[in-house]
Amino acid sequence: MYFLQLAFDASNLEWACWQFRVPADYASGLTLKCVFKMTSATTGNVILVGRVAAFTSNTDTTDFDAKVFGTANTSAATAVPGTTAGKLGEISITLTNDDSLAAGDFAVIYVARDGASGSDTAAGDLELTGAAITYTTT
Amino acid sequence: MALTTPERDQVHRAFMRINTEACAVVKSIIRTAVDNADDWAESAAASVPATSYNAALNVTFRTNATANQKSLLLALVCWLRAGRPLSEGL
Repeated sequence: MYFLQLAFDASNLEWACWQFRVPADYASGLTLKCVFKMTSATTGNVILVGRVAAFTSNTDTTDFDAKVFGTANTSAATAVPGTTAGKLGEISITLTNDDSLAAGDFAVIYVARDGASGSDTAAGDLELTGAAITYTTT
Repeated sequence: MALTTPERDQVHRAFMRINTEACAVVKSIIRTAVDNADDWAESAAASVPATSYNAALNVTFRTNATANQKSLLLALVCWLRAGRPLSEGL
């Protein structure tokens, strides 16, 4: 295997996050696209969660160390990619709760698999191979 | 002595973390199979069991799991029944 991936457990909520400066042409429609596969599961559903923390530098007065993520955006229970474990699938999460993200903000995006959810029924790890943000430009 | 519910939950988690073969059953079916395996081991510890290990497994797990997966499940159940700890992270 020549690529990196993050393994998310089937029994617990596990998460990772990335940070970046929001592009100047950002307007709205923040959406998180998660590309994933399953270590072993060929049946069942998974639940992914996206959250946003947005901070406007030189304007927001709070301590960024104490910054918390906005309300969770939870995907529908989505069937795993199918009869072949390791087949790639994609889940799109509309980040409606975007913590008032604006162009030029410093943003942290959180992605999790909620393995503890009763609606997450697929066995074994979910392997996140990539995540991307899409949005509508100005 | 039969495993406690938390121990059975631990077997369930460990099975999902160790298994790398294609798994055509959902989590709840595996969890029921843990119960089946431990109940079977409990009966086998007392006397010759009335049913085989394979027949004791719920039909969905029995018909979808591979021989290796069934062995892994029983191995994990017996490991904990022997009072042995699982590795950190399992």
